[in-house]
Amino acid sequence: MGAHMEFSRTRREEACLSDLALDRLIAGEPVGASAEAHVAACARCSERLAQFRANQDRDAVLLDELARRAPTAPVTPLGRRVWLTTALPLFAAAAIILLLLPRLLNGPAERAKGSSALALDVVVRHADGHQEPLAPGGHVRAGDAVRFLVSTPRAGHLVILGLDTAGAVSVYVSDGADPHQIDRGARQAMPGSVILDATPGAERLVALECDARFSVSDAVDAGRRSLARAEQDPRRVGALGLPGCMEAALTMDKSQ
Amino acid sequence: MDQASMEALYRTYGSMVLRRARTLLGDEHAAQDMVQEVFMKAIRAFPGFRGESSLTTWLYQVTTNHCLNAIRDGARRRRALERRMPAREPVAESVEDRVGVDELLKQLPRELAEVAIYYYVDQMNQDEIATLLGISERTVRNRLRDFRAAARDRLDPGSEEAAG
Repeated sequence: MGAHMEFSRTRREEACLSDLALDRLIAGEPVGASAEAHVAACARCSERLAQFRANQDRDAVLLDELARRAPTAPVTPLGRRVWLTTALPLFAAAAIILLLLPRLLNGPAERAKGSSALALDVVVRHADGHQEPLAPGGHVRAGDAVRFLVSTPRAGHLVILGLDTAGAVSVYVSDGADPHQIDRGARQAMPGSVILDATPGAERLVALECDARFSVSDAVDAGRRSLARAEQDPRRVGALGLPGCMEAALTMDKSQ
Repeated sequence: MDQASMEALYRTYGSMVLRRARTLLGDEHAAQDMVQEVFMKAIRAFPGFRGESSLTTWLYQVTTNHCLNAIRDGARRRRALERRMPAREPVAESVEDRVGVDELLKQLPRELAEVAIYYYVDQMNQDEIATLLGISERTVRNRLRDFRAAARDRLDPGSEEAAG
């Protein structure tokens, strides 16, 4: 235990978010519309959220380095660095984790009711014809084609949006001005595919399914607001927070 | 797993694990080791992860458990105490809540230390802690009360029962 740690409470209001809730927001996990609204209005929480995000940016290089070292030089307690002979099987398992991440990132609220949550899987077809599932933060290139697979525990109305670094919100799946009607089911392929444009950088893909019919333009507006709150950084976008809706999201990193 | 996917996993969750490990262990090198340890543990344990909580919540628990293990390890503890963490932002303190640290987490029963970490370090409320640990709010309250009392006993043996 570091001698610097102190047991004190900085959380003054019951509505204020814990570090766990803020971390979940940063990871793109749903925390509820009221929590998001609170962060937007509360100086303490918005400052703390910004601080965590700044930490994430500051730690990025270090974490990349740790990720590079991870498969070949995991460490044990006491700082003894040993080679794990099981590294390869473990990282095969890790690959499975990443494929499942979009499903896992959905919050416990829906699960608590005995059903699984909305899940978004994305398949990328590269220019050379190779296809692969998109992992969170996975790399794509302009010209790649993406297809969306949606799993949902109930029928509803769905849109899939793309929020990019240019501040644009693109509608990838809808029925024109209306959301796409979707049935309950797993890994349902959405119609068509999207050829990625040349806008480089991160793009947040957000699937939004609501019980009641809604206007696609309302969803786009919510996406713009969320992107603005995140200072146009798609990696920082939290849940759109439309009431009565489930969300699943995935960020991809696009290069030219 | 390809390198880009591994980096994405670390970038999404690594900073959170690193921040908490830095706070709990007070040592940069130990914290970085802990990041590796937590992710390896997570990958190893993942087949048993049923998705009943979010991945963030789950990693919180893994990090807390591994840090408590490390804290109770004497050698690592000595090493951690020899170094000081980089400057930390000042925090507003509640006199009645502040109970001090030092050897507390090493000496106190694990279930009290765990609840204290979530309450004081992660600023969770009692409901969140109860949900996270799968215990009742009453149990959380009791453990916090016991933690304060034990802390007061160890840090200031002559004082009355700890305040609220």
